[in-house]
Amino acid sequence: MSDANVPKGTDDVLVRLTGVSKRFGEKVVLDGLDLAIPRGANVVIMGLSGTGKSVTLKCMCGMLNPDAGTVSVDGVQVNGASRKDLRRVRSKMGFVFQGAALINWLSARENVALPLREQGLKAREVDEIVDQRLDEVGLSDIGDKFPGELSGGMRKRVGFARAVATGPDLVLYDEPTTGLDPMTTRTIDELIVAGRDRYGATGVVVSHDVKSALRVADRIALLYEGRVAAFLTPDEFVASDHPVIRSFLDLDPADDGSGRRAP
Amino acid sequence: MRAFFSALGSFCSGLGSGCEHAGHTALLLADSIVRGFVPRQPLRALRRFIDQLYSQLVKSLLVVIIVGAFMGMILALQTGEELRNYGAEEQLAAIVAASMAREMGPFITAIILAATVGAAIAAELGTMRVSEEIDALELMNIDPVTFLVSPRILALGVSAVLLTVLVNVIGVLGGGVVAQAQFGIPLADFLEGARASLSEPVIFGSLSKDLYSGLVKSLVFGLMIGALACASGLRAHGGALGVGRAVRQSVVASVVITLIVGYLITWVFWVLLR
Ligand SMILES: Nc1ncnc2c1ncn2[C@@H]1O[C@H](COP(=O)(O)OP(=O)(O)OP(=O)(O)O)[C@@H](O)[C@H]1O
Ligand SMILES: [Mg+2]
Repeated sequence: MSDANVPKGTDDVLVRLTGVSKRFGEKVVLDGLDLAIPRGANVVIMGLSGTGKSVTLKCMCGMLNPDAGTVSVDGVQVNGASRKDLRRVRSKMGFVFQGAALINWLSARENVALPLREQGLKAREVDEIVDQRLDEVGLSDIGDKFPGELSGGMRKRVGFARAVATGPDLVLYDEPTTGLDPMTTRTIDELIVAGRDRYGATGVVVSHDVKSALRVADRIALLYEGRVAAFLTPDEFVASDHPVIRSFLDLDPADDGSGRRAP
Repeated sequence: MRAFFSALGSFCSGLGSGCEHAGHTALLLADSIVRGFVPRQPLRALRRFIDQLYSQLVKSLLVVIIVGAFMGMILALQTGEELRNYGAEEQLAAIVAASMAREMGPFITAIILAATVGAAIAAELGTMRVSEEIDALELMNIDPVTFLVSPRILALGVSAVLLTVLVNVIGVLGGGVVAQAQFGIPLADFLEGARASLSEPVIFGSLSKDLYSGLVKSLVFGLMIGALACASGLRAHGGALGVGRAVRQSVVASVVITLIVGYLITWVFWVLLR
């Protein structure tokens, strides 16, 4: 299976997970997962609740260390990396959190400015980039508001602006559209596509939402029982007869055999 | 029997995680002090420190003033009644001043800081932890210790010392008012007596041992309370419930440890270094 998921040639793969296993106590979450994210593509990871999508994403940025297997980003092994290597990898990486995770005592502007300041830019340059990023997400007029004063969708957009502020090569999105109305979902999807087209960033998107997955994805990976059960283009995904994929597509809450229901 | 062993087991595992927590707290404290004195970006570090110091003082000032005044008044009333039986009221000022400076000032300040500033820090960092803000900082290569922990702990050390000085002054004033009202000792005489008793024996320049030992104590208390609050907050997990747990843990640990360490420091200053 691993060969099917890994495109030929190594230089066009930005993120590679090989044989990644992760368990919490008794519970095996990832079980020898193989996945290769091609450079410059948006890959959506789909799967039922609790199958380890967030865990996979956290392994990619070194927030979690797998029990077995390797994770490499741009040729640098992330699991067990030195602090210095991890810093270098993370300086080319943006992360959009499900709850936005904006620092709640800093204004929207200051939140977007954080990663820029950390990279040692001058105040003038920081201001310029922050203005530009907030403008791109359509929020140039709320820069001085605090996260508590913004709606969920606005917070997500500020979170996106912060994640792409430094022009990262890789942006990780954890359920960017969950809990948002269709209009806002569409806006966020457009941003994810812009992340690829405008900034040339590779995107890994964890999502439950088939419609938005089909809009943003170059490839869709289906996570099932700790592995990537399918790695398909959107067209192949729609045509697939994998039972879990059908249950996503039919929006029919079919039983997946484990007693859980598809979202 | 089984209940006993399961209770014993949970006590031991509680002890184990307590030790782990203590180790984590100590590391955090050491890390914060080192980074506080050798900051990578001194100007920004100073700014964060001053912001913290200011907000900590604002949070606790009023309570400290009220409690300090009443502490001095109670001390003067209780001790004064006793001294009157021996006709030794002229000792009152010295006793009130020494009790405030050596023990009551640092102790009261520490308890108030644990309940106000310490609880606030644990809640703030705990909320940041459970809403993934700490993770977000780490992914932006911003070190949470430099950014959040170090300024809070160091500012709490300084706050504790400053507030202890204030508590001592207010306590002595409160005691003086009671001395005049209840025992007919003129306020001026009382203050002069307090000043005289606190001006020797002198060590370290112009500080007497009474003052000096009390201020060292409050510095240690402040740093410890800060470290406990930050460590509890950073280790919070499990949503809002977890934040509540972190706050309670931080306040309880701070109060208990303040008493134990307070005893040890008193022993060092007044028994070991006698
Ligand atoms: N830090 C952790 N400690 C213990 N268990 C964890 C931890 N993180 C995740 N898990 C467990 O791992 C499993 C997978 O979690 P994960 O968050 O990756 O699911 P998910 O696919 O993102 O689901 P959802 O769509 O609901 O977000 C869950 O059963 C969860 O309980
Ligand atoms: Mg998840």
